[in-house]
Amino acid sequence: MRINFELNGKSVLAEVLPHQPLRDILRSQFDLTGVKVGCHSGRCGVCSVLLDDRVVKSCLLMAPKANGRSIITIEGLSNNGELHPVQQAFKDNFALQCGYCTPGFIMATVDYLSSSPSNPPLRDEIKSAIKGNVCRCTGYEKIISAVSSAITSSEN
Amino acid sequence: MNSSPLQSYHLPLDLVSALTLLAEHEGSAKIVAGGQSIMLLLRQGFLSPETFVDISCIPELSEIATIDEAIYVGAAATYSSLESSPEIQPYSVLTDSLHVIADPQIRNLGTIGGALGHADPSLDIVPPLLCLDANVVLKSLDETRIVSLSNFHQEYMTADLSKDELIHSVTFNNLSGPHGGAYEKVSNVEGGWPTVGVAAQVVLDDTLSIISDVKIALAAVGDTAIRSPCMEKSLIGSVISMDSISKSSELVSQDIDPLDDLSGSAEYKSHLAGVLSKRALIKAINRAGGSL
Repeated sequence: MRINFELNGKSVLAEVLPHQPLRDILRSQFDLTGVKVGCHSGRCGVCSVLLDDRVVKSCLLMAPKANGRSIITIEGLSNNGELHPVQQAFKDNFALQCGYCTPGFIMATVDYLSSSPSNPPLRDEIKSAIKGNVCRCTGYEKIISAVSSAITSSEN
Repeated sequence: MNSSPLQSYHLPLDLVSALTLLAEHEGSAKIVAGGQSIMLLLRQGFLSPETFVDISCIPELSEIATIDEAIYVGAAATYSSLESSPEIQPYSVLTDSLHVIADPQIRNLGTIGGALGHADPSLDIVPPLLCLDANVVLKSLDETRIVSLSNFHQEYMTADLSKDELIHSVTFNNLSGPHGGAYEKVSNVEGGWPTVGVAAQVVLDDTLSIISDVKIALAAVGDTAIRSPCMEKSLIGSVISMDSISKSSELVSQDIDPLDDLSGSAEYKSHLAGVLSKRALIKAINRAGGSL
């Protein structure tokens, strides 16, 4: 079936099968390989994207559900080469090593920032906000610092 | 994956269209709400329906409202929308559970109706709804049925739902009197399925010293989520004391039938059920204004 949706601000068409995950469409038809492939079962969060500004796992998003909706991937966050504040916060806090999980963490953080997080930041609240994402290198401390600094600087 | 170009996917915009599709494809259509469980079942080859009927674009099925002293939750309301709904905030037994279901990504798509239709005995949302005496409203083109949630889940992964019916909504009555609820769970990983989950809902008398009503329900301790009548009976009418709560929590093992699995042994789950029942009860009583 054919679906029409807004992808990173542009209206696009895609030919999809009913139970194809949107992740596969984003990677194969639109070359958006910042949407990573991990566990294939909704546990690791590396394929996270924004659906109408809320974070979802695109491996569990049936592609037809994107019809008429807006999808934003990591590729759609920067503005004319200028990093999104959350991307900048991850960079400034060295919140990555291999980087494979980073797009997912950043998408989860963008959603969290839009939902009025506590400020000053609360560590437990941040941990709940990113619990759908798994990182196997950093041990999360620097990721939590990055999310925390993104919250603090979003107030300014 | 068993994807086939012959499959059809429908996104009806109103209830009658959805019910008509179910009637036309009787037996072969699968209802999709958030898709968070069905995607896994499809990927594992457990399902290969010819027709999908996605109910997430039907406005009345996503509503959360208070109607005639009762809370109405449409089947396609997401966990996230429940978490942020002012109607749901007074029911801490529900909000506790919503905060510990999976993770934000899953909660943004997963729905209450999808959970109830899935009928997994480990779902965190079911024990709180059992404590609230929730009813499930089922609709087909010809009929509306209202089934008590305690009868809706008949056995392991099996709900009282015909092929031409869909779960329309879940309702429960407003609570009166000093009341409080809590949900406690233990799982192997943060956001994981519960090894055991326990919901408690209490109503106190006006002196805040006697338990006038109590409901205890558990997840992951048998074929379906269940209430604990032994524990409830021992508490109703009793004066609040740590001693009576400890003693009653030991009775919960009489009402459950846990199995050994990867999340823990049956013996461990029985032990956990007692510990979590006590914890949930204490929290519920304190929230109702009682003191422990």
